[in-house]
Amino acid sequence: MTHIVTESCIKCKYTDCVDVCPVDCFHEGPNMLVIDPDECIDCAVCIPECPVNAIYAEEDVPPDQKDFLKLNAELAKGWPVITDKKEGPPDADDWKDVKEKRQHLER
Amino acid sequence: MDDANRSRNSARYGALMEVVRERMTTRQFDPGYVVPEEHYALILEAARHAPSGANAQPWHYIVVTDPGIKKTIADYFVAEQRHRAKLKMKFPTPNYRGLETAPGFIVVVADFRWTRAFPVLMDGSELDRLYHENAERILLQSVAASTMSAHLAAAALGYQVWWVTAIGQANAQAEMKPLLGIPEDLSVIDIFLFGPPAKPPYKRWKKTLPQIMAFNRFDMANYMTLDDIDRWIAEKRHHVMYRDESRVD
Repeated sequence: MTHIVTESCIKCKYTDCVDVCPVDCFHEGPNMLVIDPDECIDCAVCIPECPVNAIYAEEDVPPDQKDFLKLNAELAKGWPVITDKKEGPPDADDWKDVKEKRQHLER
Repeated sequence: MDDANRSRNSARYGALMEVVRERMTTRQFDPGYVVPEEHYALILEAARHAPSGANAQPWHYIVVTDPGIKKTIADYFVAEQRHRAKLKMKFPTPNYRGLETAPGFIVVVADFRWTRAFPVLMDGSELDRLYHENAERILLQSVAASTMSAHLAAAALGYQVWWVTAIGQANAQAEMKPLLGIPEDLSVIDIFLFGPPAKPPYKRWKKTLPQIMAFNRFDMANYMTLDDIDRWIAEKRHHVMYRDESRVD
């Protein structure tokens, strides 16, 4: 079991989640965060922190977001750990209501 | 000891150890299960037989069956969990939402006034304060012994358990005492949850016998420095808390 960051995070990357994670399991990519499933302990504290509701427990991931299960595991391996909240991208707010953002994911 | 006794004792030890080994923590229960009413008595009968300082038996058990009360207590813990996370306490907290899924929900109450039944001076002196500190430990050990007996009884009935500790803070007391009608001078000390687990439970890593045992003198091989402990907290704690023992390293 783990928690997963999904599509809504792309180009928003608000990083509020990072500040509350007790086990530092968030990894930072160019325009998205992911969770390392081997480190996540399922405490669920990050879920309500996310302004764009990008985080789900593995068992609650919506059907159209299931591919992020694999993506989180894969991308966490290459991206560095992030432990402190930081300023989001300047245009984050413009992207928070955009639904289809997969094509913008930078690896 | 004759052979018949030896074999009887060995069978008893085997049965006990099976229960001890199979008592595993679960933090998500099958919420649809209903605990047969007689199980509460079977479980708390074990709590009743525990040893205590001065045989004071300073414990009370409140069986919570009202889903509304369970939810209120779960809400409190989830809020506290978020509060701790925001303080950057970095404690690998479990998901306290799981509290409300527990079919068996027993709040353990301790009566700290019973410290006066233990070796204390009752004269308000500094020495008395030290003896009172010791008396509090006696009381905590007593309630823990009784609670553990109940946990083992639940395990013997085939349940998994969750010992919810760390609820001594003043705000936890203020939240729970009125909800459960607990007199002001008593204390909620922990919560004992049990039931069938929602997912198969896993066995946590346990130290080996040589790591905890010595004859006649402390084994310095088992001594950890503060740096060792801090490293353990940083690197191992969340693994030993949330992983099967086979996946700790």
